[in-house]
Amino acid sequence: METKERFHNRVLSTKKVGEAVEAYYEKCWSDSEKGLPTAWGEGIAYFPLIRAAGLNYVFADAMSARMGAKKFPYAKDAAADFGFLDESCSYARFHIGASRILKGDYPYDKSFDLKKIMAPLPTAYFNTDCCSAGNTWGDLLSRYLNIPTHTVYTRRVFDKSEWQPEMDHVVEQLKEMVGFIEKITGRPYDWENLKTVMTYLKQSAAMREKLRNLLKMKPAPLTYFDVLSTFSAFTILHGMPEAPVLLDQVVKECEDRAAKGIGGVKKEKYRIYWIGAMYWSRLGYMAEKMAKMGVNVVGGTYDYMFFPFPEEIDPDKPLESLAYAPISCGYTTDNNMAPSMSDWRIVKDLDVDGIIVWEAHTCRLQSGTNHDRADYIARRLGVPITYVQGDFVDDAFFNEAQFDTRVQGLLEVIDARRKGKQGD
Amino acid sequence: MQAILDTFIEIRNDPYGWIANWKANNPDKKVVAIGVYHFPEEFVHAAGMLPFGLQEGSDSIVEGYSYIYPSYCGYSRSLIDMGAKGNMKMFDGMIITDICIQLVQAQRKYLRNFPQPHLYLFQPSLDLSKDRNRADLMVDFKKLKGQVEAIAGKTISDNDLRNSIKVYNHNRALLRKLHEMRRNEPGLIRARDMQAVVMASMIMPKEEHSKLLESLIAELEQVTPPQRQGVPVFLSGHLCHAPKIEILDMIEEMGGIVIDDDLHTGFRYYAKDACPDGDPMDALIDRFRVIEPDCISRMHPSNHWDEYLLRQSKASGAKGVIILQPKFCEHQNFAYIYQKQTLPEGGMDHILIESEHEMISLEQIRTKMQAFVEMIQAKNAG
Amino acid sequence: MKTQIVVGIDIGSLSAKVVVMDSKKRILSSEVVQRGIIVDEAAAKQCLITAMSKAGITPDDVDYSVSTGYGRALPGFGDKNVTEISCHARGAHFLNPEVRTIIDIGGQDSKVIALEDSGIVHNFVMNDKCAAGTGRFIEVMSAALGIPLKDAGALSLQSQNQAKVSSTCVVFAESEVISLVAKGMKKIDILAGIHHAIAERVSGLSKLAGVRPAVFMSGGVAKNKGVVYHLERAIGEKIFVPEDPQIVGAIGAALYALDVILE
Repeated sequence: METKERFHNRVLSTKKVGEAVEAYYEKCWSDSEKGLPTAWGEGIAYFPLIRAAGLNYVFADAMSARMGAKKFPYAKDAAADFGFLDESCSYARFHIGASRILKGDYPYDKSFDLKKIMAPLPTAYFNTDCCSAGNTWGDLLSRYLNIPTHTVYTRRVFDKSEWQPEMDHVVEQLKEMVGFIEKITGRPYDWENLKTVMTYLKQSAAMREKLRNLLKMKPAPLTYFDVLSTFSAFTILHGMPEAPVLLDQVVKECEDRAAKGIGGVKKEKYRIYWIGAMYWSRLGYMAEKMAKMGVNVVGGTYDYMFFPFPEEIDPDKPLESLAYAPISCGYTTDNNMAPSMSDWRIVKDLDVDGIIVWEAHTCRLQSGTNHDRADYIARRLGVPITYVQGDFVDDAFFNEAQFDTRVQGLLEVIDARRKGKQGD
Repeated sequence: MQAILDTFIEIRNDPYGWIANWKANNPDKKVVAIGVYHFPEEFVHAAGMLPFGLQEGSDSIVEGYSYIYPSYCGYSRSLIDMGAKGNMKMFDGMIITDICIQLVQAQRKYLRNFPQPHLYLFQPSLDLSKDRNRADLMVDFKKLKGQVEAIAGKTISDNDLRNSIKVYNHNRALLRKLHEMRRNEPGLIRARDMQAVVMASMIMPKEEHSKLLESLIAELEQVTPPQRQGVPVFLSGHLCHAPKIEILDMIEEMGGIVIDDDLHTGFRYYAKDACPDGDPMDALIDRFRVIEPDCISRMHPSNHWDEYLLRQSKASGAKGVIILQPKFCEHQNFAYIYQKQTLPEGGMDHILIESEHEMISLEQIRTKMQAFVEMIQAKNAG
Repeated sequence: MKTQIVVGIDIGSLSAKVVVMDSKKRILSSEVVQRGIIVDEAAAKQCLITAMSKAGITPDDVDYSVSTGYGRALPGFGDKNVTEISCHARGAHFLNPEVRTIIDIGGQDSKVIALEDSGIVHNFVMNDKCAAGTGRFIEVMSAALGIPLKDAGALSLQSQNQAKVSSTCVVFAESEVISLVAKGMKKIDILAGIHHAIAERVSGLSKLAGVRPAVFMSGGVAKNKGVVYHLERAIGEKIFVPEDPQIVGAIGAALYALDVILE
């Protein structure tokens, strides 16, 4: 049988992360059928706090990304039917659309097994106020599903003098959040378990750091797309004991490849940094497409989201560690104050040849910082940039011809610079 | 009367030109550009400065696209474009309110790219349902007061603040009176002129505006407005900036008579007063915490804009609601989900008109509006 | 020694362009054909045949060909494909080595390319959705006004009272014209407004790339004197427009083909 030539040399152990995620969703469903509560939430979520209470928690963005990846069309349709315009946040649309389907308010093709597409309806919603769309999203779901919502309100900080007061502000609210969680679960909060959860999170972050270091190698034994395939270890399996174990397997496979000189792509001709969101609906497709062009995307914005640094997680100070998350994230604080997301030194270590900036058309939170971030990095490194429009999960905003032309154009610029001359 | 209106219209037609002129004629006075929505302007007034309610610019977006994508609302894009063009350097300070991520991004663009003296982000705690909200707001308001004092170079006393509250309450009462007069006498004042009255209040010195408005109201009280054939309508939406006057004109041209609204350049601006006595900080915080009209940017279980809209439009005697939604305004799109259900269920016809910074086509709006009026007239006749 | 021959083929959204070149970089012939339908390969093939015929060659005489444009990946047209970004840059620099900024307003998109002093592409930007300034808008609006596209630019320069045309969205373009005519605006004033709007959009794009003289304009819209006039004023620089701006991409493609055979 003829085998199709593959250019993306996928890290196989990332598939196990996917399997574990599927198992988690199955657990959510079976627990729900037993009457156990499920919670949904959005934002730079303080999800370890929820995890430690033994509450099944599903991060909204991740659920929407999963629906996009599984090509489930009805969530988007349900949202449009509800009154949503395509221009609004696609994560929100898919998520709210899913809730309508689960509630039985919108039809879908029953050949889709909803248990394999989405999580069960929640009994509570957690909002972490990283974006106004997120706030209204939580409010709407709260009303539509008639469930309580808890919001942790976070101020943006601009000056180092503001960090500690704001962290204190968040810690106070997290304590209130614990009270809310206790009402949902009907039992006292397990503070010891929080330490355990934070320990697993710290171990996971350490694995992630190893993967970031492996990406610095030339050729890199993995791609940014492989890293993103493990991302649900943070967004879904956060704080669970299997998360660091699965990530460790990924690290070991990559270290083994590194020792054998096996690259993440068949031929690493170009090293590219990816600023902005990711096209979750077509992660594998993008990985293969880029690899076929000889591109290894060796890093990107998501490398530094959701607890990227193990040293920032102290299991003995869990609330303080969680409060630090929005402060250190470039989306909720100013670029200058979030070195992880705009530090050209990090990108310099990756020795990139160029930058792709991906605009998720429906997300004003992440796309707003793209130009500044790309400019900040590119000016210091002197690398070319190309801007491409798309989205997280809504295929309507992706134009393949546009993508191909702009990325190919970028590669040609890199080639020309390498040759160092043009003149005729 | 027309002379007074012309004063307001001149400001509405070119707010940035007007303020530049005012600054030139008042070189010893400072002007602070502010995002008006939910902003306690009294702080700026009490510090002896003029608050300038940031308006959408009139230019097409050109320079701004080097900094932001087109998928942002026209207002935020326009603010960024004006910053990129260097048009905002005349202000002594700029404070944007965080009620929307797009406004936050606009402020961020200034922070990174268009240096502006005293550029701040006012971040009031928006979850009004929490027990801690009042305490959090006290922190936010104290910080804002400190920032305003830094711009002014002087401390704001409680007496200054109380006095400013009185000045603002007086102006708001006058605006509410005009609002009431319009409701009671449909056709008393054109929609575009009402907009000019309100926008001028966001820009010119409050005392002067009140004086002119008193005179305008006195003259209008003597006027019997011409009988207008049409359908009384409630205008809703446009939370941060003024709708284009071409749209307002089109609505009236096609037979809509605007008798009530919850617009930014409308009832939202003057709906609530602050208590003039006691602790002025408490008074301003209490005012902030009153949800009137309902507002999608704040969180509270009873904060349902759709229910407010149904209630208010019926109370006003409107026969239809026109929702003016700026393209890319996520807040309004989210709000529309329930408006779309609640209004028809409550027996109130409505239409949604999407607006853009660069107006796409009035012909589309003309057709929609005409059809809407025809539909309501037919229902009423039937 | 037999002179080597190369062909550059630019298959755009609205037209196909071909340049036949020899190894001394002499342009032996060129041809432009309007495609009519976007997937019309026949027009592109016809263009190729006509260009070769004009050069007095047959397909067997062609040593190498490079295709560019949105249709560059269509089979049967190029031994290799290179994007129009690189090809326009190459072609422009060939025609004018002083060029440092290239503006190409095509039928469907617009791009600005910044060159280094050596002539290689330093950076490029292309329009975002909903912020377009493209030839299509002028085409649709001119048709709505009943003015032949070829006359639109020159006529627009006669305006003494330019209309304000704020949106360049093609979807509602015709209804925009109706409302302007209904307001009593003269056609030439509306035309001036249209050209100004396009130029404004593109000048905004050019600022993202950075404008350095000499500025060069390529693509079909470069033949429109009205756009050139308004764009010069918007960017504050004189614009060099070659004799045939439509074939710049094909020239660049031919030069890339030469690179291959001369290596």
